[in-house]
Amino acid sequence: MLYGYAGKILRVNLTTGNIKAEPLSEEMARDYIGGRGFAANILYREIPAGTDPLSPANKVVVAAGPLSGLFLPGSGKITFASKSPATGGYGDSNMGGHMASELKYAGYDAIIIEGAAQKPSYLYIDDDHVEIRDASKYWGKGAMISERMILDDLGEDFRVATIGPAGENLVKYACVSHDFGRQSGRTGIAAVLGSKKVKAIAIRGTQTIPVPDPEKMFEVGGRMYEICFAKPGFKEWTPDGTAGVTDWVNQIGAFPTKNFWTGYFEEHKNINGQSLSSRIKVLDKGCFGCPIPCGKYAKVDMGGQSVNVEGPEYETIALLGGNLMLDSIEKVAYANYVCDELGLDTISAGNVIAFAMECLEKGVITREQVGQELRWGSIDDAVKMMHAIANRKGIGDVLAEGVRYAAEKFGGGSEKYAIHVKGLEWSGYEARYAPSMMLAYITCDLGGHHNRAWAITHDVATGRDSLVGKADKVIELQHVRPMFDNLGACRLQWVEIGFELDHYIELIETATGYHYSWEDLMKVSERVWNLTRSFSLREIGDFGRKYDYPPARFMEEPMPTGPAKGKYIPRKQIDTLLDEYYDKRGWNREGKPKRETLDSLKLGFVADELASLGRL
Amino acid sequence: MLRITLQTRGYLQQVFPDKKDTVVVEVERPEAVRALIARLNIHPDLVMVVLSGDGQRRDLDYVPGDGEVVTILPPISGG
Repeated sequence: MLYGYAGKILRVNLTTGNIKAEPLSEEMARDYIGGRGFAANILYREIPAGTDPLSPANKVVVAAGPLSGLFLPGSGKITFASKSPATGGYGDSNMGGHMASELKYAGYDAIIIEGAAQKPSYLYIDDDHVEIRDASKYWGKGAMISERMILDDLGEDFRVATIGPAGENLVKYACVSHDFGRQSGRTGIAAVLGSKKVKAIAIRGTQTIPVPDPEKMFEVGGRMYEICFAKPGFKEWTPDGTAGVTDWVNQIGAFPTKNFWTGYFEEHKNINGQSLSSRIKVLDKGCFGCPIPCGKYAKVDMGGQSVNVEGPEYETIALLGGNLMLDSIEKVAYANYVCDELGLDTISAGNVIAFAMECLEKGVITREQVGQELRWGSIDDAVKMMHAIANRKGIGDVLAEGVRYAAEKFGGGSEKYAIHVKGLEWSGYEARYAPSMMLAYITCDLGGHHNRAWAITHDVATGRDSLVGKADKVIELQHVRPMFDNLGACRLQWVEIGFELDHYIELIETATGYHYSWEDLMKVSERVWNLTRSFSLREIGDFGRKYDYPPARFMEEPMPTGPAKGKYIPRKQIDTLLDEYYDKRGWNREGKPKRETLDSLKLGFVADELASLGRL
Repeated sequence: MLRITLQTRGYLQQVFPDKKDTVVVEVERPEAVRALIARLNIHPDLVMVVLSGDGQRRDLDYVPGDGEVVTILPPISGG
């Protein structure tokens, strides 16, 4: 018996209607742990090379981890993964809420969704009873509205993930939504579900997760909660959630403002954590097993509506606030609500609309092309464009493809203003004066995303003008932080309140009966990192170093205002960072893993395939 | 001699002496938290929140009294 795991993977073929439960192998559990690791392994092995991300041959993997659903702090994380329609490479995005625990209680560690349905459908999973059901009545409805409708139809004891109109219309940065405001936001997994006509996944589970000694699990888990509660300043985390960092990011000149034109937003105090908690917050909202609820359920009156929204959290404040120059928390919260209902990733949406605003301002595109007003700071204009994108109306059809594509389409030098890496729009930290953070962004396996290695404090501590030692720290973080996505646990306990990493060794052993050292776990992380890199190498013909550069703005334009004024990282320094990073990873200077590196990570089968394709 | 206890967690703990979560700083006369952390070679931008002994939010210019336990917290790491 595989303790800590449900022991089965559910495979659903939408084309044939075949549904089967397959045993989880011990080798898979030990070598890949779970969550993101399972997803990377399954996608690499099962998706044929060169698959169109929006074709039936692509697959979506939904995977929990060995800690998901157990009595321990923050055990509510699940990973959605696929070949990304946004980047053409490996894509995943983790999500909180209650899907991970429910999936395990239903008896599955992961779901593999393959093929495509002929008509709108949803997956109905009630323990062993699994069906592909008709979703026609939900199709076209908002992500949260359809979650409400499905819960009304099935009962409140189901847990439901949905896509919105953006996913249905194959917007490349459409997100999966759950729990009325939790998202698997990045890399466009909802567009893949939309291409398969999957509107939702509904799960109810009534089973238990086997552990070696249930009483010990409760004892250890309970003790871990007490450790969290005793941390210095524990209560200070909760009131503002991640929004609490807004002023700090602005203070160091890293707050995305006006399409990353600068890193300082004058109106930051009107969209910060305090404005959220004092003006619009209704209550704190946590995920399964969470001792530090970061979700902030808010209510705001705008646009003739009174709406409830979970958030805004920091990333949304940065990209819909500063980047669009929306100057009140109410406006940001309303824009957040619109994106959530449409099923748009707020990070990419904020980038794309800001890009269009700058293109219009600089005359790259005309008012007639845009088809509406598109002014900095206008909530009305931004919301109108969100609807145009989600429904692919007018210029929204171009912007629905993301900034990389839109810049190619618009021309006129606009690629300089397309703030992305590998086709994924940049998240909430301007990195022109943060070389570690810059390296973290440009080497992130997904594209322009922060969560693999949030290294900006390392820059502050070790010198923001220095390049020395940055690669070591970034690689360390790229191994530690994504491990939480393998475990099916939330990293915030560790990274925010200082819950020590060593506690996870005891938790994993209590849950699985299997002892890992952190060195063992880091080896798994390194394996997964090289596998996702190899996935993108296999799928994108010319993938490699040239995909690892930031947008020209960050290499050529000195920061115009704020605490980082005058700072930028020239291409030569980017090259220095990349060379050191590749060397330390055991990759060649083209950013390709060497055979010996892959062999040492039990990825010989990957080396063989890449060699056969001439991509090693 | 004044004895001020500084306590922290998370990333800041990594730059505290011996990576412990608490340090006692002894000073001849009252000093602001900014000066106290400078004695420990901690960059002020690594501190996001300062809590005085009574649990109130302060800033780096707060001057703690003898025997006070001050909590300093690092920035939140995104969303």
